[in-house]
Amino acid sequence: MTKPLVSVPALAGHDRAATLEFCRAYLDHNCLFRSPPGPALLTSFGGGRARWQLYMPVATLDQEFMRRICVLFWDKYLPLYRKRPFQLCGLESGGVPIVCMLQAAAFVSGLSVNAFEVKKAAKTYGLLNWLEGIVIPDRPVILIDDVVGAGLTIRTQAKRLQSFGLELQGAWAIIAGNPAFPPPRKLKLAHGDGAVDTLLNPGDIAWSHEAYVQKYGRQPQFQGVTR
Amino acid sequence: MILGYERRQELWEWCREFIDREAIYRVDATHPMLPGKNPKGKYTFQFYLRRATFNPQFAHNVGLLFWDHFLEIYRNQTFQICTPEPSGPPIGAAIQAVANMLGIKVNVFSARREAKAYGLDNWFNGKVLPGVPVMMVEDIAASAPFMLRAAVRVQQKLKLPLHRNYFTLVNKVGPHFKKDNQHTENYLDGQLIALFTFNNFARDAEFFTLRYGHQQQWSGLIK
Repeated sequence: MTKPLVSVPALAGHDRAATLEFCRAYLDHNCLFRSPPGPALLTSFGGGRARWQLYMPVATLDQEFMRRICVLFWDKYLPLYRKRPFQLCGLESGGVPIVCMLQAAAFVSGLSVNAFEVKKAAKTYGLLNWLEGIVIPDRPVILIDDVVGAGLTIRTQAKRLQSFGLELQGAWAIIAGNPAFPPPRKLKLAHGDGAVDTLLNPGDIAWSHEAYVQKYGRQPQFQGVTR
Repeated sequence: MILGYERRQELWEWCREFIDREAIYRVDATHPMLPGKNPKGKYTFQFYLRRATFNPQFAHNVGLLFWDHFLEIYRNQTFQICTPEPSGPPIGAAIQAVANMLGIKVNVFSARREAKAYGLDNWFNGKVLPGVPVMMVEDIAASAPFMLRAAVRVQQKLKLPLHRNYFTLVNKVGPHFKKDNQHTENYLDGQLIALFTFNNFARDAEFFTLRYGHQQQWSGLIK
């Protein structure tokens, strides 16, 4: 059942800024585990030690945070969708709750947006599939992830979708999350070179414990589960 | 309950038929059996329930059916939801999205299949509410005990009480499964609330053709 599009609430300029600030502050205050001064408490992806780690699911599984993210996303992308409908592809695993909430927010406003997931590795049994969900072959795709670091993952998955014959219209993430790699995160799209679109940039977050204390005058509190 | 009898039946039947037509791969006489998890194993059918849970109408209906069952229970005793990855999070999102419509705030977090290999080496993603019972929500309760393992970790690592109920879309039981491939002894009576069992679906390609008058034909690109 596809209902006629009623409305996805549009944002006035100041509402957009306030909504974006809510999301920025939510990430800054709740989602970063920052190692206090002294020996680094975290292990890094490469096997060494790390001083901070961003845990986006603390935000992307939060009802209120995601309600606002949906408003921000559709505020920008609804006019594009109206021009030419697209489908959303969430990158496993960070992109999955986001595409589901984006899709649900559109649906209650009367817009039925298709979504699917691209896996980190193909399934090792059954259909040996890379994609989960029903994929419309001739509809352009917007890749969705929670955070884009240097952009390697999103570029790899973009190439994969293109190798399956899908047209990549764009890529979107909540935050460009590695201060060592300033945006833009470049990407080859169907219509030429493009970049990953993000709501927030590395400069929006205090990455280290020291930077947080300097910015807010208090100790950071990580709100995510640590086990 | 938030739905009337007819509306509930309508949503349930819509979801049942969607799974039956679009989310079960059945091998027919012209296709080879599917490779199983065990290298020597072969499957004659397999559930692909994310073909359903990524459908916006399906997700919306499931959210409504969930709250239809659990809203009164939730009002009496708040609970939080743990969704084992990778299949549970779309259902958690569907439940949260309908909660938004109903003005309910519900916490959802996810359980990883293995601990993260860096950072905090965590088994769970999201945030948890101390002391609030946890309902496990997954797409299917089958012989592989992923949901039960995650439930044990909720108790042991997070020190959180479990809610009395587990919720799944499908309870993979039915007369055509070997007992080893079922989990009938894994849950206490009434503990597992599932929308469907395998009795609700065509058990093979032949039965599907008999039921719908044509061979099964999945929509979309399969890659």
